[in-house]
Amino acid sequence: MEFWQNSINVLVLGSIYVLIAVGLSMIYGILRVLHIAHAGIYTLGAFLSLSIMEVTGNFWIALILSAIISGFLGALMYRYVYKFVLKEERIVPLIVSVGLFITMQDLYRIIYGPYKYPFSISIPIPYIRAGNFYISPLQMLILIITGIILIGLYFVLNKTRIGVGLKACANDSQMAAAVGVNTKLTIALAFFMGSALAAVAGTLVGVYDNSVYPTMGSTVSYKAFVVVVLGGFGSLKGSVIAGFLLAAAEVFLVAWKGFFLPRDAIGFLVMILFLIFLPNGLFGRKER
Amino acid sequence: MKIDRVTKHFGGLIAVNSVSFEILKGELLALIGPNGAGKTTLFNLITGVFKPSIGKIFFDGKEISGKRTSQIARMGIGRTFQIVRPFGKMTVLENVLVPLGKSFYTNLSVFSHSPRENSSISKAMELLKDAYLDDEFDKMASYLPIGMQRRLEIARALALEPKLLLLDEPAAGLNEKESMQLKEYIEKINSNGISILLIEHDMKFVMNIAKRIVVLDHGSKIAEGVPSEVASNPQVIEAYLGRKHKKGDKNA
Amino acid sequence: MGYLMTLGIFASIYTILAISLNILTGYAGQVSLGHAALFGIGAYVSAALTVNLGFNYWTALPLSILITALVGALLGLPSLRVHSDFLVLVTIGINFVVVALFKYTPFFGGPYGLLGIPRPSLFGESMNTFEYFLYAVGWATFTILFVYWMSKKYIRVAFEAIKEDEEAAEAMTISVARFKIYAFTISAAFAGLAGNLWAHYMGVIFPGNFSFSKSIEIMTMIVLGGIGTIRGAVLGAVLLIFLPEYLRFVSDYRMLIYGLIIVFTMIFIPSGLLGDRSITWKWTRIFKKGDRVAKNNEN
Repeated sequence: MEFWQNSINVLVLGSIYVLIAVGLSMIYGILRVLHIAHAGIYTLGAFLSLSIMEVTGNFWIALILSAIISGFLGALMYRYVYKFVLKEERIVPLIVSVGLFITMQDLYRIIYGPYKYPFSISIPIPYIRAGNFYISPLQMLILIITGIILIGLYFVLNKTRIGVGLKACANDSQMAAAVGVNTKLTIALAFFMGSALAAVAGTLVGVYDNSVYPTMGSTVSYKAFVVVVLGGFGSLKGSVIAGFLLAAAEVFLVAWKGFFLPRDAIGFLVMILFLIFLPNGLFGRKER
Repeated sequence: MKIDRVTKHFGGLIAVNSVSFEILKGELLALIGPNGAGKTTLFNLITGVFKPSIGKIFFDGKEISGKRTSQIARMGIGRTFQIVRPFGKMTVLENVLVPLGKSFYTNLSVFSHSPRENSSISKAMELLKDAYLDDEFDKMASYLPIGMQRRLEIARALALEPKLLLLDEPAAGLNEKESMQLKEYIEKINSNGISILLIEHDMKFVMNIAKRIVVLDHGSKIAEGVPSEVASNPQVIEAYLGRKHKKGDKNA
Repeated sequence: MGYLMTLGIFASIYTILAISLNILTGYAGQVSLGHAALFGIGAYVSAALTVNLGFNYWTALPLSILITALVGALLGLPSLRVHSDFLVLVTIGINFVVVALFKYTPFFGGPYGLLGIPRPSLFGESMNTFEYFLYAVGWATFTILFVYWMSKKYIRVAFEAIKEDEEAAEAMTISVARFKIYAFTISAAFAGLAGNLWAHYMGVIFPGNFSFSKSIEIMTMIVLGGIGTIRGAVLGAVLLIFLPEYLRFVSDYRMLIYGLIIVFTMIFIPSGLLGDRSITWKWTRIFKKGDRVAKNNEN
């Protein structure tokens, strides 16, 4: 049934949104800064994977290395850029983030050129066919990887000291520092994890669409923000649910009603509606 | 001002539960209670930050529950905040000049009047002098020590020419000397005819300054009366001691 | 010579544009990364009025400013509900939607834009470059003077209070909603003026002229020059128009340079080159005269 096929699409699309949004949510939750440069890391992840794979020929190495490198770069961004501007008025870190993003995007264009690079891989996952619908290997890949990551994330955040530290900082960083949490390290860690997630998302999308190009971060990143807004800032659970909700809205609205606006506008409309009627998102905490 | 059976809930939490009391013109009433009793929420209800779920609030005979904060401020209710927040990046003088624009903010004269007019400035300096802040007029507000910031907030609220002044824990974090200065300042304000509703934790301070006290606990009013009555009220004692909160000398 | 005048025209237009964003973001603290949309509306409305509906330039001018101001007021409505950080996202989205509107509406010429936009006529003849240069500089001067005058009034006080602390501002009888709408409307009016001047100089406009990158450019100007100051907006606009001409060889790296400018300026000189608290500018407050008067009262 078409419904099931669309549902698979929702799961796949949603997974990508969730991967990006969860990282963003972590960073916003701890730092209260809209890390717009997150989109730049997403694109970086894709390009890094592409290049590393060219060198090593192994997709998995490329994926993991790119995630790690991107994670470090994210943490460096915090250490060497954001940290200096956090004490200024709220506008400043926001604008810095935009500046970082534009710089990154243009750097990609300069280094790799404004072309779309193909990114094809072969993976040992079979086509799954059931009745009238199927799941392609790439779709399966995305679902599996996202699943593993989300489970791992749940584990880390709830069962490890690092995770508890992260949650403490997100709640009240002064208090956390008072009880011995190394706030700077924890924030850097949040950036590391969030950025690694973004890089994985970028890589997966690059493979799925078979194209990697400098501006691939723009629309997807905007939607990631929509997801974070929808789910409630700083709520990871919310981001997960909201990610799939947005994907569902996009897929079904386009497929069934032949929606009159371009698909990307749906995200924007959803965000406007939510910001007006539910400014704290589904699960967010009230901001002071 | 009259507060009539006001209740406020946030989701499942009842922050204020059917509280009623009155403040008469020129009174100095203190609102006390253990942490989380709903005192600041009540302030927020009075000043229009929140709307009561049930009940009404009247001021000067008119109902104010549900009105916008800026309207309520214009009607004559000024307030300070629990965590002191003057306009940090403005100077002390500028902070007081903001509310002096009161009559301009509702119409187009906001485009024609300047805060630099001599009349405004002298009015502002006078208010600062009363608050012992006139020497710091050109210092940036966020650089002042907390005692001065508190007085600045009060002076700023006074510039509105309020009939009722709400003070949220003005003595918090102050030492003996600063508390004394604050007490004198507040009493001077009250003697000029401005009613005052004061939230405070410092029992010694409250007992010394208030003519009447209302006690909240867990959102409900548990006692009301003159200081000596309230201090010997067993429910009040339990509410405080039960939370291991140290009370000051109750015979102050 | 003619080339320098063209640059001068651009500098004037961008000065107006930068000052308009400054009112919204610098004074009132409403961060907008979609200002190019207002610029575009001013341009497109005026262009459509003159090209498609045969309006006279001098009628189209006030109309396009008015309409842009109205749209600005409408766009201010989301700001009332939205936490300030997320206003940025909304403005980016609005920019996107507006540009899409230009691209897909036949009345606005679709993806090929609008051509044949007429120059204003002076004494029966279309303005030439020199005359347009004087015209544009005239408007820029007017904008600078008007906003300077406005910045000494209570409206500026209200804006600053809102930027600092909305709740405290309300407690001071400042209706935050009302003044936010004021900020959006006034800012939009000037952006519309800039759009009008642009369209009627260029003669042809495309949807791509008013995209997100343009919004970034405008933001870079006020950030570099000094957020919250008129002199900063002017400097930023002038620098970012004239410098690229002398550094032609880096034109391919434009966005990269903008990005780096933003990042480094924010780290090292957060208030901008001529900002109030920057090392490159002495501390001056709008109440300086008042301080002197107060000091006199003291003694």
